[in-house]
Amino acid sequence: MIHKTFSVDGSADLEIRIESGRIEIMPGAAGVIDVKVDTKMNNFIVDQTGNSVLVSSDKSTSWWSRGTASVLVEVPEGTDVNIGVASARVSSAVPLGKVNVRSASGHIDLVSAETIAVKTASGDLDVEKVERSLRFTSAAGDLRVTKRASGSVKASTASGDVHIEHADGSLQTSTASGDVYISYFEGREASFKAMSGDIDINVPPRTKVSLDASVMSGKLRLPDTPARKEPPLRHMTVNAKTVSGDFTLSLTDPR
Amino acid sequence: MQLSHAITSFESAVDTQLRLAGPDVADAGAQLLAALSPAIRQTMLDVVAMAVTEISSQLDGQVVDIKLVDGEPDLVVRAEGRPVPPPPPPPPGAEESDEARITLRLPSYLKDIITAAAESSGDSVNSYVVDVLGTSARKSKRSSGAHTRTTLEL
Repeated sequence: MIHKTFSVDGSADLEIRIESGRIEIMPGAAGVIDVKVDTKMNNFIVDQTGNSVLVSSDKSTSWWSRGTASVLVEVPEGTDVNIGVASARVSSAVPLGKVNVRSASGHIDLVSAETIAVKTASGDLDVEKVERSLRFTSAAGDLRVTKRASGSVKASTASGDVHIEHADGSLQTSTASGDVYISYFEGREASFKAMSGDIDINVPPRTKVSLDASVMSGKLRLPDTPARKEPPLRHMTVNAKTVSGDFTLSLTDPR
Repeated sequence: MQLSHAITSFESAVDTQLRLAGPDVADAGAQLLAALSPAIRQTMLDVVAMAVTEISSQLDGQVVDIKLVDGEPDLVVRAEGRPVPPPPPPPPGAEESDEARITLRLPSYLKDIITAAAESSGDSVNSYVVDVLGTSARKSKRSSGAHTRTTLEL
């Protein structure tokens, strides 16, 4: 077991690079990053340079002697995190600053972050809240924002699904067979592209929607315009294009 | 068409294999992948262009165009200088030999409207209904899918 504690100031950043295993990020005291690593690998690096902490398997370690590593870190809120893994589960219970994850597979579970950039082949991303920006690129991984996505969201998947519970900024999704479901959208613009995936978007009442939707062989479903004529509270632009997927725009209860 | 999906899958698959050979090889491979990325994308575009040419050559009266939107190829089918030919007429004698029957239930007021419309067009009610249903069904078949550009006040 490796256990090291580092003093940092202001906005620290943490870089973790392992092949497989588990990375768990927990809330810690201000100005302190605490690292515990459970691994059988030799020459594992846990080190600090300035305000940056590096947790990494040693490059000189031969691949046949490698095993998994379980990394538990405690960080202050707002820490920037950069993670590179082949196949490892990543979870964070602390609000983070900038999060960058590149993985082949492995589930990523975050509570919240200022910005998130994830590139994965088959890993899923679950995040409760993202404040400013979310970029998600995957082949088969799903994206789920379970509470709220603010700012700019761009998601691109092949077969992965996209589910956003509440979005109030701009949305841009591109899927091949993945479905897109937006439970509540009150942002200014949304753009969707899908091949065979379905697209469902729900907007609150008193919304003026400038819609440009094109479905080649799927179904296009739009809500009836209400008889009442109250002035709109918001105006949004929605562009959607599918080949065989359905596009559905629905009216939902206000929140 | 999203080439980014295919490129991401390819890069991730290569990355996974490289990591098995050690971090030095993985780092070198990552740099090589980054350097080759434009060439990989161009190769995929070339393959798409070849596929489009081959498909266009097999279409009668239509061609497939490639449009680049945000760097991604969009395939669009368009008529080749003339409108798409109408569907072929039914074979001679088909109406008589393939005759089928259905029982149609409809409101009495609608029956009166249909009867009046058939009389004014000089057809029997049966011929009139068959004509209207056939026209509507063929139109529906041709316009599967939809495109709308509108403003909704919800």
